[in-house]
Amino acid sequence: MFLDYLYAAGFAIAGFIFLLLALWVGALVQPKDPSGRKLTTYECGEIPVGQPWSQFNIRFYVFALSFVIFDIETIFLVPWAVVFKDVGVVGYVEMAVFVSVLLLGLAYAWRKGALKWAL
Amino acid sequence: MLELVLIALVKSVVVLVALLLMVAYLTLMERVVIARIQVRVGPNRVGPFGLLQPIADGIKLLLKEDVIPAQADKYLYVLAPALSFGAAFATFAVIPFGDTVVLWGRRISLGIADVNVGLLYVFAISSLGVYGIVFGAWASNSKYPLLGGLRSAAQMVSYELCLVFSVVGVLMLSDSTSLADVVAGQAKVWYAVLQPVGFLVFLMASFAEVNRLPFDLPEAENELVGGFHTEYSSMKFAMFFLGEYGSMITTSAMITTLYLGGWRGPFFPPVVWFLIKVVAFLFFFIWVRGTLPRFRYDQLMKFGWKVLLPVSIANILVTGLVLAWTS
Amino acid sequence: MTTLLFVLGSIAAIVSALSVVTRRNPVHSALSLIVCLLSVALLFLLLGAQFVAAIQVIVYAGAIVVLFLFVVMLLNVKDESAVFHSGIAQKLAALALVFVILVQVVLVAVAGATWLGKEQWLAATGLSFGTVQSVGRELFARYLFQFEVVSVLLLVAIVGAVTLVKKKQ
Repeated sequence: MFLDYLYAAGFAIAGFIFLLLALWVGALVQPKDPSGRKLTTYECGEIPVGQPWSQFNIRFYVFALSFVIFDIETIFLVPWAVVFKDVGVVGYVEMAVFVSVLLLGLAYAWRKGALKWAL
Repeated sequence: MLELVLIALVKSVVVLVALLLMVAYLTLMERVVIARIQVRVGPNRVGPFGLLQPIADGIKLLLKEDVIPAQADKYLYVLAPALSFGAAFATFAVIPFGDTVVLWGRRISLGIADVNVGLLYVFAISSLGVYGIVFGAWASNSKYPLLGGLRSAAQMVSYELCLVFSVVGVLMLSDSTSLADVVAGQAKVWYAVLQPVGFLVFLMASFAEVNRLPFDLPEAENELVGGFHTEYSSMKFAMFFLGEYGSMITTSAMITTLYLGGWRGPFFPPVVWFLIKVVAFLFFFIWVRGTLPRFRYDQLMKFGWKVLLPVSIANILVTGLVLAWTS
Repeated sequence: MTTLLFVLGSIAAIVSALSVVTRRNPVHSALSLIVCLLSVALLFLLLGAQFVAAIQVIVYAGAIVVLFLFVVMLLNVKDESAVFHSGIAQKLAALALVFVILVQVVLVAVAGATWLGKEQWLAATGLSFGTVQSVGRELFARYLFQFEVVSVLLLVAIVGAVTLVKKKQ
């Protein structure tokens, strides 16, 4: 079991070596002249105006928060699904209750308009 | 011991090189197919049928100056493309692409690692892949990347939920999160047949997960220039590019493994079947790009949260009911 | 091999945890936090708890830090000093909290080594320990009630999230 994780890590290391190699070879053959307008941020060829940051929609935050909550739900669903055939009908009812309570939450958020992407 | 290390090393290098080649020729395939769809000719100048085009593109990217904008956050700016690339490729470590073969008297399983939590590993890596985009966007310190990055992150996390929920149906059938077991469970019938709703949800959510049309809002080029990678050039841009196309390949491989029986199939060797299915899905990705227009952002979020998510949860409940009834 | 990885993982966890609190730039802090959580995931993996390790990455490193980063990006926090002024009382409270937690950790470690004896501690007993299947079985055999309570807790969290962003009438 542990060996397989080492293999996976080995694969990741192989990818990392390729990455370093590519950047290194690139650095050898590329021209390097960091100067002038090249270093400004891109704004369709104009000189950038104002701050890069603009006011973002608060909805992003709501969705991220809902995501965390439902992500935790998935974590409970996975072990249940895997042993589902062993725990049988009782397990199914338990999970149905669990999912229903969360669906209630989703319905509540829906009803209150938290899932609406409006400005 | 040495033998094990050697086998693992050879497998890793072969898979990595194969993936990189696939990415290179995926770009060519995309350009040719899109050109045909739009009744154009497409690249045909470099080499016979334009077959050397990806190599020429690669060399050109390598030779370009690597500009780091003065306002950028240096560390994160360099780290982001590496994360994006790494996340796309690391997923492949747990995907089995063939049965065990006997080579020189040794049994070698075709697949780099078979971990018990294989599917969770895939989701873990893809949840880290979001950071490549977020950090890239933030480090650029520029308007379009910031907007694109934030959009992209919200979209990816939303659709990741749909991905996980739709996969739960498969897990109930396979009794295991190990992808080798999932393939073994499809010896008789594909899970796409037993889980049609889950399959469709997974398919649609994967389009959003890899930022492809019709869900490519993060890099909507006519509104956001290029989204999160606007400020990137040369090899770092190439890394983002490799990451994006690499994740297309790994996503296709995941769909194949989860719903289409993985490497299973008659007549041809398993690896060939695996490749056929993956390439078919890649073609489908490109076909959809050539056919559908882009969603609006509010439509996208609405679709994810109000259609795909409830449908996938209902799918779980119905699957459970049927399984409990029949057993 | 395992010991070496354990030492490396622990050092990475401690160094990155320190870096989370010492960094001026909040996004760098978030990055350090990801590294810290990943090192802890490695420690879980070394204990044989594969499922917990995967969850550690998916929920903590994947979901919660994304939430942090969203907040940072929404507020455009460039430098913590511009936003947070931690007073002397706050610093003292933080120190006291750290001290209490440290005492607790040492107590548990000492208790584990001397008072309770080995059989009280659930250790990696077999190959199946920490797999998704074994976690699932435990969850539905022994911890059913807790499991259902979690759903209510999550429901409360959703209601809280909705209330937070609702416009005042």
